Amino acid sequence: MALIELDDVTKDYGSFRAIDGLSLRIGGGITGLLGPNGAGKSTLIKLILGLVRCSSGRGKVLGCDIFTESQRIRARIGYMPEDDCYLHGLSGVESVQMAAQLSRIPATEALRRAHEILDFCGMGQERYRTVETFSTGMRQKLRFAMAIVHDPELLILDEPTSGLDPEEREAMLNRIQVLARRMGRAVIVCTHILPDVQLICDRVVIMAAGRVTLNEDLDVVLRSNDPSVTVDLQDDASSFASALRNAGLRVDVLNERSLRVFGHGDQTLPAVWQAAHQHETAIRRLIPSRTSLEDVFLAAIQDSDRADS
Amino acid sequence: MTPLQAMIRFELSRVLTAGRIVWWLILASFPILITGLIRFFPMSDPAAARNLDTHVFWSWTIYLLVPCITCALGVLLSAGPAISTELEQRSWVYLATRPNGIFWMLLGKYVVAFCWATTAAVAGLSVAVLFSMQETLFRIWMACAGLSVLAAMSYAAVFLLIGTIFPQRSMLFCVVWAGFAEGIISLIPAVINRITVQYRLRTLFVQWARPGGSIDTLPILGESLAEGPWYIQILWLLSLTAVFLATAQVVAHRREFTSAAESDV
Repeated sequence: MALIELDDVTKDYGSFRAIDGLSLRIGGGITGLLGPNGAGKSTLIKLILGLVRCSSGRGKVLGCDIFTESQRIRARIGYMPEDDCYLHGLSGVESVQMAAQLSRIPATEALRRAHEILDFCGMGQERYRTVETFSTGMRQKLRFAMAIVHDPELLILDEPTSGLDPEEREAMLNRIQVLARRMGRAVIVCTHILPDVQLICDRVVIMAAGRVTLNEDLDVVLRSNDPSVTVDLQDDASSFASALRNAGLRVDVLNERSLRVFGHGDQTLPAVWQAAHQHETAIRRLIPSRTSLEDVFLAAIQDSDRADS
Repeated sequence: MTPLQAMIRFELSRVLTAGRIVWWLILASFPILITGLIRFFPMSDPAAARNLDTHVFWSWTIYLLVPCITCALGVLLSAGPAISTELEQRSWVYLATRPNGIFWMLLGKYVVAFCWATTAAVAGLSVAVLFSMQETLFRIWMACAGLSVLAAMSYAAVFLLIGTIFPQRSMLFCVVWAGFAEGIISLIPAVINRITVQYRLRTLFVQWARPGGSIDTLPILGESLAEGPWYIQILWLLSLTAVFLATAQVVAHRREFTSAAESDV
């Protein structure tokens, strides 16, 4: 079931068209929202949150109409903004408590949840300091905590790992995965860091010039156009290559212990295993070829540019 | 009421900073300073001083200083920049993306602005009225304290609305409105003065402070006082406040505010 359904949505800022006839379906799991600057990602998020209204089109978020039920939508969405913004004058725990209270959670329960969420986010005693004294990483954790404190069904994270050191980045990605995989929350991650998308996302949406140029499962997106399987062997590769060629496969020997077998994995792998069994060759590793997300991203944007021109 | 409590607590945490407390003290000191100067530097013309009706003089002076200037200035400083503060500090997005966040934010800011201005005005009034050394000082205090509450209540709603319509230049537009509408339009003997807060406050002042027949017949006030008993005037003020607050809510919900940092597409 699609959590976000947008049909032919357009958003104009004066004479500038930020979203141009966008139609989109996003379901559960983790979805990566990608696009170059000015692609319309921020406007799309604001539309989903009801912070701006569509100029035309229609849509539903979590089954609620984006025109008439924005309050209900907001109650069920958690949003982590990209900006370095925080509630001045409050401590970390007070900020999260306030975010919970604004979502109609009573004060005592809000405080309990604030501590629980800050524990989940790995924030220690620094939670009692005012947010002005927080480092970039701590502010990032705080924004994340404020986004999830009311237990939203759909979480929109805008650049959740930007400005984080590698250790904190990994921890943040783990938290996102915990929310999506163990707790069943739908997550939209808007980011420019493609390896993050490749690491955690199930689906990828690429936007360019206010339109969706790609909306596909990540596995499908990364499936190579020229499929092959790299085989690392315990023994000599050349004799095993002959066995594979005899089985009708196209093979390139890469070095004395590895070779590449061309063809889709689901077709070639049984033949490779069969040949290894007959040839009594030990296989150390099988690596299906994949297209990099960067290639897909650039191709999607170039397609959009070509369509425009 | 949990969201309102949270907003009030948040706003109070901002109000109870050293800078804002200094502003509160300056605001409360303003009527004290002016009445003190009047008391300790009397008129140079003894004949004029003898002819002066001191009750009339002091009650009008305190009325102008406290409910009109201190209260209006107090809510102008706190309610006027309600939206612009959040946009500048980039906290708007946190508040606006909560269910009814905009509603509770405006209401919380209104309540705190009202309390901040009223306490400063009443504190200033309580000392300033002593300088009048009038037998009627308690009556003046009662009238002006009540008017301070009503003035802060009404002006806070007006300035909140102005701040919502013009978030970029809210203070400037609030000052222009205060000077033009409350200062000039309220004195125009026409239907338009009925939408001003000052028109009602002035009428209530005349009724409550009872500064004597001479006040009622001042040519400048002859046509600029409302008819009807005090509760009608209060009802008018409550209605104006409700209308201004409701309009501010509608405007804030319908407008698409974006801070500079998030104005990218």
